Amino acid sequence: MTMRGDMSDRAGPEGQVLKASRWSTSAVGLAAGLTLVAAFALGLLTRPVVADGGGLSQGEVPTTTPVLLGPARGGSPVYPEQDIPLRFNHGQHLALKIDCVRCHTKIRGSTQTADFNFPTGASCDGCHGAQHPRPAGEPARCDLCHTRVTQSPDPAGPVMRVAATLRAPKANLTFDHKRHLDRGVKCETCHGDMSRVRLATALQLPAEKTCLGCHNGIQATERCGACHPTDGTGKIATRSFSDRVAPQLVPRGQSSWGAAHDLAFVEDHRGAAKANPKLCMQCHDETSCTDCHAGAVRPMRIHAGDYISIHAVDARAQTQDCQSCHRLQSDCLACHQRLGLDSRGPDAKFGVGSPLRFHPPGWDGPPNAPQSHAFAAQRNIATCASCHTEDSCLACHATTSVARGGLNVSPHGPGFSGSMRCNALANHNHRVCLKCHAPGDPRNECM
Amino acid sequence: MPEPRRGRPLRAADGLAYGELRPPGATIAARVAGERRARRVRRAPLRVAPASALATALATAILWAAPRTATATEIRTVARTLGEGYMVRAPGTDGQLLSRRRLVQYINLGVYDLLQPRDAGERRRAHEDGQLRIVTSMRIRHDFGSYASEAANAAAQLVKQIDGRQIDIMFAYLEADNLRGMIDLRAGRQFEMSGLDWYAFDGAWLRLRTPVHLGLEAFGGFQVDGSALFGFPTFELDGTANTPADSKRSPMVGAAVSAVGLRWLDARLAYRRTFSPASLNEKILNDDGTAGLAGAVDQEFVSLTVAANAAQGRLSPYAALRYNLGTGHLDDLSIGLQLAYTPQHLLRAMYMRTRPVFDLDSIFNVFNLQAFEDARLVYQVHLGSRWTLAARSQFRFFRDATTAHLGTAPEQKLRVGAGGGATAGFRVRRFSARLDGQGIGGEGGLRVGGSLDTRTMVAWDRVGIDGRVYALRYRDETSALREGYSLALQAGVNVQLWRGIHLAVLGEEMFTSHYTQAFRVFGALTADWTLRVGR
Repeated sequence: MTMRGDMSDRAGPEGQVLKASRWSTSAVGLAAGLTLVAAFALGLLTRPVVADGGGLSQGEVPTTTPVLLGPARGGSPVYPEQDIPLRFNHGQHLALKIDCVRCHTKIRGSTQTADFNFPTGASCDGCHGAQHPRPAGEPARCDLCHTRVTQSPDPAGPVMRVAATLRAPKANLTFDHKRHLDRGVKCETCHGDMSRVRLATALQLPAEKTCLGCHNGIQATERCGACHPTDGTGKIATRSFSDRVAPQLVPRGQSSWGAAHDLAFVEDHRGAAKANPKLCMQCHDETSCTDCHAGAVRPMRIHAGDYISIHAVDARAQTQDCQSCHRLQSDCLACHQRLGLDSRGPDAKFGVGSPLRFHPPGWDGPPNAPQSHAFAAQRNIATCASCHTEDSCLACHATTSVARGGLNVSPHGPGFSGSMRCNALANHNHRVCLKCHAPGDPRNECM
Repeated sequence: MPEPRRGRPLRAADGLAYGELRPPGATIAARVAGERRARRVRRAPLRVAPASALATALATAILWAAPRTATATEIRTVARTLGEGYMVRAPGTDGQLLSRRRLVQYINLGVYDLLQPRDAGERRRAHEDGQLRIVTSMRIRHDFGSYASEAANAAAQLVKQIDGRQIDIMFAYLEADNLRGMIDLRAGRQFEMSGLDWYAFDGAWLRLRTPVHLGLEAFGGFQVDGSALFGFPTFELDGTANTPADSKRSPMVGAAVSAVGLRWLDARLAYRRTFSPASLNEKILNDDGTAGLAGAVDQEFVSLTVAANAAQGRLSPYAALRYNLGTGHLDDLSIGLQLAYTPQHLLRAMYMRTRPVFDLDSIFNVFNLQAFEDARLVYQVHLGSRWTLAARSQFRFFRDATTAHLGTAPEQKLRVGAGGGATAGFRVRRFSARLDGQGIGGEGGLRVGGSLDTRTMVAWDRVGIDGRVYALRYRDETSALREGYSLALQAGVNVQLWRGIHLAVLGEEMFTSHYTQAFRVFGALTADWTLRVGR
């Protein structure tokens, strides 16, 4: 860092600083290195099985853009992209009174989404004639169903090649067809009216609101983890552990329960988190909160740029609620005292004899002088507490009769004595009254 | 063949009754009982502390409630090393530069699936059957720069408290989830994040779920603060720091009634009281002249939170309010409404009203009279699968009204600060970008700025290249000296070294009104592994 003007010539003795802390640096660095080596060795020796889908993986720290806004392939986090090179008309088959299980033969026994429930070619052969395999002499009719068929140049010639590879990754759901069918759930309850559908795609797979029609906590469980896969921690696996561009499961739109993770959600999550913390805890563990709110080091997107020069503006307006991450009397006070934003002590840059003034003229003074600090104190005393302790207030506001003696300037407004607020403060912790009022002072009784 | 799946009515038919799985649990129970007997002999003369009694009761409850099997099956370890280096300048004409070289090591260890599946065919025990897990997180942190190493006097104590190679136990608890279909429990150091507050405590939380969608909660323990063993002051209320009141551990109790298991409603009415130990008051003279005050209360809150989901998710109102019984103020209120009228369009309105909160033995509560009010409106639309656009507006209300008796009156009783912003997001298979612009004025000053974030995936998605440009113009209304601009350029990589192992490095070069240049660097190395054992 270099500063403008002559300040740059007066930088502190950096070399001495580093020398002074060399031992502790080496020791901690060595310890950290050994910890990592040990972790690697442990991992190699115990043959770690890395879970598929690890909730909110801690592996990837968001440095600039949040991870959930990073690059992603198409498809949804629940139903990955499909490629079904087939020609099929569900409506046509249903019109012929062909039951679903006639083609989806294994569906009644299917207990998980990994089961292959597409009709095989052989099941089509029952009506369409033997093609899988095709008996000798039987003409090939591959293009009746398959769309990627390469014909020979002669239209009457034999089929040369069929690309029949079907890509339909399993849905990221916990679902048991058997269980639902055994309870009398009809196919159309989840998949909709198939009589008007040609080739079924992911559009015919049930949307969340369809599931929630029954999973309402009364007919069936409303627990998110009942359908969305969870990991060992009990949290929903919202993203792939290793596929960094797989779509992530993020509360969005009508499935978000008031907590849509939109582009402004980081700034606005406070209300939803307080009103419905159980919802957050379906996916997030404590580290999701502590990383930012109690993080000793935070991603650089937070407080980016020259925030140290700017933070006073935010603190004064509480634009960002500083106290949600910083404790006034440890974080704020420590930094302010260390940098000399104080009128006491050897490092103090303010106070008697200094040309620097933190507060504007008319901020405080003897009784009857302008007291504009009163506005700040009654509205945002948190900023006062980031530099001042109670002693600063007691110097004027304590009564003259207490040991440390103030100037008897009452901060209480008219009607305070005997008010509900006066009684609440006095009854809950009388110690606070005795800081300004001497024992026996009738005002201690809220009279 | 009987159906080999979850659900209580099927267990008998499964042939997997409790009795057959009992021996390992019985061994553990016997061992625990033996140890407890031995402990009683050794510690017979000692007074049984309330915490010990509570712990014993909890252990008994868990042993009673837990099915009689216990095998560690999944262990998750997360080791994360974070480093950051930058400089800060002290105010004044000498403008001394202080270096910050911070290193933080997190070690998280979780032991999950402590109870085996009821069904041999299950990979993981069904939620209905209950589960036990142990979750811990530890942090070691230190600042090697001159900011910490050359600190002196009062500042040194505080700086050391925050960055002085301190070991923090962030949380460490045993969690029982859905035992016997009705008991949720956590015992140990834990967080509560709710309408009451966000704070940490050492103790226990218990919830009994009744069949009528009602949960009865009770919790108690000691609040975590800087005086606790491996404690940290982050969530300690301000007001009386570094006084004797700050060195005593504060007992805490609370209770709540909540709605459980309803899709369309979540609600909770909670109460919490934190005590100030009487030992603090032994030398304080009471009003009648006698020495010593009775024990007092440091915090006492009642909170009500409600979140609902209506019209198939289109309408989601929520509210959280907290009443401070100690100050007689409604000191925290958040009301919001989310309207997702189509899958693409979303509108959110919020109103917040907050007051700074302090310990009740702090005189800061006396001065704190006005609340901050904040109203926000957000609109977002998805344009296809690639583009997302959002706009945001914000209004803040600052009231000055009650100082006339002091001989000074505000120029205006109400002032309004306003701001807004717009954001565009774009993402495809290997690239994403986010463009932001925002400005806000009013109390404090004015800030106007914008940023562009990008990420590009290369090398088979193993490497993410990050870039960011950030510009800001600001003006502090109280001091002409605090006016200027800053322009920052950030660049870095986020590399997946192996499955679960990531390295992120990000550097920033900054140009401002006050610095010709300033460089800072951030790095993070994380190893996140899950091991399966005993299976």
